[in-house]
This record gives sequence, structure tokens and C-alpha cells, in this order.
Amino acid sequence: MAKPRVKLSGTDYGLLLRLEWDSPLPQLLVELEEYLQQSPKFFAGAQVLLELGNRPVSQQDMEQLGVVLERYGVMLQGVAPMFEGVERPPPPATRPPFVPSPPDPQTLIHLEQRTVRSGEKVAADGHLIIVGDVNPGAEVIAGYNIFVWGALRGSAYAGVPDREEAIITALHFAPIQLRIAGHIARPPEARPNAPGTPELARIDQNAIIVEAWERGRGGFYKRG
Amino acid sequence: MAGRVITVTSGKGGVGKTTFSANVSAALAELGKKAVAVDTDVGLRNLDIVMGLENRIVYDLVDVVEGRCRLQKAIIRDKRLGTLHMLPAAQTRDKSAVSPDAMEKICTELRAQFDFTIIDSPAGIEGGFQNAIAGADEVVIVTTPHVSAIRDADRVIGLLEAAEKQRIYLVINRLQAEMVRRGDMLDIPDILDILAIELLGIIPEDEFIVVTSNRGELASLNPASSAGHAYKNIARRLLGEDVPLLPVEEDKGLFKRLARLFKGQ
Repeated sequence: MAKPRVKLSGTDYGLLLRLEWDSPLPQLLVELEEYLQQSPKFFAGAQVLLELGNRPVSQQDMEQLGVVLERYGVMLQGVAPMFEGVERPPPPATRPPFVPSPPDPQTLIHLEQRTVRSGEKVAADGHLIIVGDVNPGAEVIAGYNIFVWGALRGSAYAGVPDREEAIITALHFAPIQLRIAGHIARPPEARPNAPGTPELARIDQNAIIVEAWERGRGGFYKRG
Repeated sequence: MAGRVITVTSGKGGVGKTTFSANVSAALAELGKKAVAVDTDVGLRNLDIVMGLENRIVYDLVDVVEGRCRLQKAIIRDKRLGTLHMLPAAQTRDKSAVSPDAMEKICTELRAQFDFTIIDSPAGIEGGFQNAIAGADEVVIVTTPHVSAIRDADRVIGLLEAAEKQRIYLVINRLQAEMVRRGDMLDIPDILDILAIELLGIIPEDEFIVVTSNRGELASLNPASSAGHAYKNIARRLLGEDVPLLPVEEDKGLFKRLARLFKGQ
């Protein structure tokens, strides 16, 4: 029997599936399939890194490999260009990037253009912009700031989990409850009606304060 | 004939869905439309009582769903108005006896036979609610001017929007003019501000409703009832007529009511 072209090993990064890519792709696919067939239970749901040697891989090649892996429930974590202890030339530049690095949440903006109603929850890793109202019983949550272009009557939780510089703004500010990072606030009972002008909540000296939005102060809130 | 299937729902219980379904069906029937009121509150049926048809039930919705009888056999025709009909719910089963698919099929059949199919839904947002909205072309949300009812109505509107129901109307029930005037009750602009859907009608608090629904009579067929008048107006609005909202005023006693009646308002 020839040297096995599909080999599985455990590494510090998880399971590594190495394919000796010296035969044409269709043949390699058959061998991969045979290999997976031997222990389908083991591979179902398994997360693996794929190592393809130094051969340039096209998008189509990758898709075909993906189809076979998917058939056995294997989840592809990424493609390892070269692994420690294995001497290989660096991967050619033509290799497509399969593992994009996650974007910085601070640059992410989630836009929701509707009325967020009671019982609904809108959450975002980055900033959250609601164009519409947030009704009582609704919840809006963001890793950074929350901007409501409308009435905020529900609950808002900005700066999850501990981003103290986060702010919450709304055109009509009448929330049931506010949270910024670890601080919780609810509007005082003695404030039956919000003024109906834009307001802003932020943390000042370890407590949430709500103040009128002032023109020209935008830069002030850009802290941290 | 392609009729309209309208589901009446609210989230909160006790706000007047069943009374609304019965009375608007009757008002539509009185206006010459062939109407059927469908009770989907399996296990807690009430619509038959409010419509005074309790003693005529032989087959019900679950019998139709489970194939024990044809749809036609389960539908009861009202003897007061030949155009008014009812499809009762089963009393001895629960919501799981019906599925959204089964409801959609029944609605398709009803749509072909009736101008209006008015579906009375159970309280809540679980299976019974999902059954009730499955075949609906339009949805009427009934609420009362109470914060809790409005909160639940808002929740239901959110679910309907998620289910991609396009036409959702609001009915505010049991409005007490005197309490609104004193500022003790949420007023209509406040409610509309939050719910932000089209207002189909406002029904005043009317003790007539208690009396008539206990007797199985329909207020909308009684010219002396202020709520009945509002139901009739809602039926006309559903038919596309431009009927102005009744002024929210206090009930000034029988004399004023009679005067209003003679003026034909």
C-alpha cells in the first residue's frame, strides 16, 4: 500500500488534517472521503485545521474540499499554511486568505430601521443605531454606544461588558432602565415626562448621568 | 369569490376579542356581507355563548381538522341574520389539536365561500395564537387603554411584523371618556404614539355589552348601544367607507342617546 495521503494529528491548535497533495484533486477527494468514512462518528461535528502543503489552492479546489468535509459534518476551522516541525517552503502568495481576522468591534455599526417592540431584543458587538422607537419592554444592547433616532422607552445597555466610556443617546429619552458597563440606573419617579429634546447618558464619577445633548460637544464624548 | 380573512388578537386576555369578533361579524352580516366568525380558542370556547349559538353546536373546528366532518357541516348559520355564520372551537380538546397548516387550509376554503372570515384568537402568544394568525390576510389588534394591555399589544405587533403580516389595525376598546378627561386613563394619542399602527376604531365602555353578551344577543344589532354603534362603524371602515371616529364623549343618559339615534348619527 502506498504512503497514506491523508493523515490526522493532534496539535496545540486542535486537530490537523494533512493532505499530501501530489495527485490530482479528484483522486485526493476520493482518498479524503475514504479516510473520513472509516470513522464517521469521530468526524461528525469535529473541528479541524486543514494542511495542504505548498501547493497553490484555488477557490474551486477549496470549495470541492469543503463539500466533502461538510458531507461528514466536519467543521473547517481554517487552513494551516505550514506547521511547526514540518519543513516546507512558505506558502505562495496566490493562496487566498481563508481565515480573516475578526474586525475590530469599534468599527462595527449595526443599524436597525424599525420600531423595536416589547419583547424584542437587538444586540450589537459594536455601536448600535436604531432609527425608530424602542418601546417599553424592548431591550437594546451594544458593546459600544447606542444611538436612538426616535424615542427610547425601553431598556438600553451600552458598553457591554465594561466599557465605561460608552454613551446612550435618544431624541426622546424616557427609558425604563439604563445600563452602561457595570452601572445601572432608572429614571427618577419625579420625572413623569421627558423633555422631548435629545438627551444623552454617560458615566460621570462612577454613576450614570443624563444630560441634554449640547451642540458642539460631540468631541467631548469621544473618550477612551 | 375571494373574501378577506381577518384575525382578531391582543396578547392579553379579557380585552374584548371575542365580543369584537362576534359584533363585527354581525355588523358585516347586517351590511349584507356573508360573514363567518371562527373560534380558535380550543378548550376555552366562548364565541358561541356571546353569539347565542351554543345550543346549536354539533361539529367543531377540531372535527374538521381531524376529518370527522366536512367544513360545511360544522358551520352554524345564524337564524337572526341569514348572512351570519359561526365555526365553533372544540371544548374538550386543547390548542395542539389544530396546527397552523390546518388553519391555513381551512382559511383557504372559507375565503372562497365568505366575504369575511373573522378569526377570534385565544389570549397569549403560543400555539393557539400561531394557529389563529396562520391564514390571516389582515389582523386587528384589540387593546384597552391600560399600560399592560398596550405592552402586550406591542409584543403581538412585533410578532406579526416578524411573521410578515402587512395589514395590522388597532382597535381601542372600553375607553372611558370621563377617565380620559380627568387624565386618569391613557389617551388615544399616547397609545398611537407607542403602537404606531393604523387606528380602525375606538369602542366606548358600554354596560350594554355585559347584558347583551350574557344573553347571547349582539350589541351591534341594537341601535341603543353606543359600543354597538362603534362596532358598526368599524365594519363600515373595513368595507372601505370613510367613517369619522365617534367623538369621545361621556354617556349622557338615555335621553341623549335617543336624541343621537333620531339624528341618525
